[in-house]
Parts: sequence; structure tokens; C-alpha cells
Amino acid sequence: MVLVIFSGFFFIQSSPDNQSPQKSGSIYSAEAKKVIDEKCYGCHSVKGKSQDAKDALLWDSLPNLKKSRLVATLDDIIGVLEENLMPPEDDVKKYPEMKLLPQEKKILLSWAESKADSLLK
Amino acid sequence: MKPVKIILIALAVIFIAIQFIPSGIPENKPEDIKSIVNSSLVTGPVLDQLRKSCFDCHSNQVQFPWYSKLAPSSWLLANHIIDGKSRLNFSEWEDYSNREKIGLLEEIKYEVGSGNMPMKSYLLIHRDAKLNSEENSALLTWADEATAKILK
Repeated sequence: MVLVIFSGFFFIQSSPDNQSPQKSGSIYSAEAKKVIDEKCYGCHSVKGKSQDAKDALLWDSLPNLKKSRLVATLDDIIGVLEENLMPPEDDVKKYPEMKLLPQEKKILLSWAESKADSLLK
Repeated sequence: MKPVKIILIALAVIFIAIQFIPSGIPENKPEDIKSIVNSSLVTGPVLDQLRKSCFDCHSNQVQFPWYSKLAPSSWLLANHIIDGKSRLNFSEWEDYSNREKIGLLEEIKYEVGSGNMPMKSYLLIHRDAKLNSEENSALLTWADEATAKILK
């Protein structure tokens, strides 16, 4: 049921107008934040153009989620990354530079897994 | 022979022929220690409700309806069961990590709370699987409590 929700998960479009996730210090590692800023935030922020993407995930909302919802969101993020669902294939065709590189995927996975683990301790 | 008769005979032949194509419905397996049934996470009326409303697509304990033996409905059923179990299988609950369990419980809350589950197409035939408002609330409360137990 899972996971379908993340139809527009990461997207793609990084522009100078995009702002970084707020309150990022408490939740994101510096490495993860850099990847999110460059590859995900363009769609998954209030300024994103795709409503589906915003409904699926708003990075800025993560610090305000209650614990269970945050763990579930991190679990969704991990699932989406493991299945290579984001950034969407069609978008990568248009903007090849937005493809998530293996190292970037590793950074995001490592961050999401360790964050979820820390919440479950 | 009239064209209508020829069409009917052809349809009957096709219908009989497709019965020999395996449906791909997964076979039931005995419940073991990994099942949510054997955990302390759920008991009583909520467990009964899960069996009645969810287990046919989300467990290894499917109550196969009569149409599970008939193609093409058996093919659709096979797809539903395979897809449902790939997303959540209560019979393999203990194989999920705590993170995954919380993700699934949150998803249950979302799908049940928004009325997406049980699926409307399933309820057309399985009317007893429909959740009334009390059953719906009980399931949501259970999901909250189960989440809290895991987070402790």
C-alpha cells in the first residue's frame, strides 16, 4: 500500500529560486541535504509545480511530523530509493543531469536508514 | 448455421479452453510463528476483523471464493492477491523490520481511514468485509496502539 503514494517523489529541477529545507540542521545530514537540494527539493517543496509530488512529500514538513509518521515517511523514502522510482524516469529523460547517481542514492539511503533507526531506539 | 449460433459456440469453446490456463493464484500456506495472528500485537475483535476484511488479499490464509476456480475471474483474483501480499502480508509480519511495521501501520491508517480499503471491487462480492463506522474506528485505534507498542 504501500508506496504508491510517492508518485512524484523526488523531482528534478533545481533552480536558483529553490530554497533549502528549513530546520534542516536537526534532521538532515549535510551530505543528504546537498543531494536533496540538488535533486529532490525542486518538486517536493511548496514551490514545486507538481501537486502530486507535493502531496507525496514535502521535505520541509518532515521536522514537524510526529514520530510514527516520520518513521513511516523515511520507510517510504527508503522503498522509493531501493526501487529506483525517483526521480521519475520521464523527468530524467528531459533533465539527464538530475539523475540520482549511485553515490547520491547511497547517501540518501544511509541518512534515511540511520535517522529511522535513531527514532526506533 | 446462423452467425449468432457460431459466435456463441466459439465463445463457449474459448471459455472452456481458458479454464486450462493456470490462474497463478498463490496457494495458502499454514500459519506459522511469523504471522501477526501469533503475535501479541492484535487479538480479539480486531483480529477477527482483519481476517474478515483484509486477509483475503493480505495473508497466506485466503478464503477462496467460488469464482477463484473460473477464468477469467481467477486471473483477476490472482493479480489482486499477488499485489496485495507484495504490499502487506500479515502472515509474514515478523519478517518486517520495526521501521517497515510502522510504515505499514501508517499505511493501514491512511487506506482504511480514507475508505480505500477494503477495495470497493472486493466489497461488491464480499459484503460482510465492509467496515462499519465502529469497526473502522476500532481498526484505526488498534493501528495507533500497535504503533505505540513498537515505538516503545
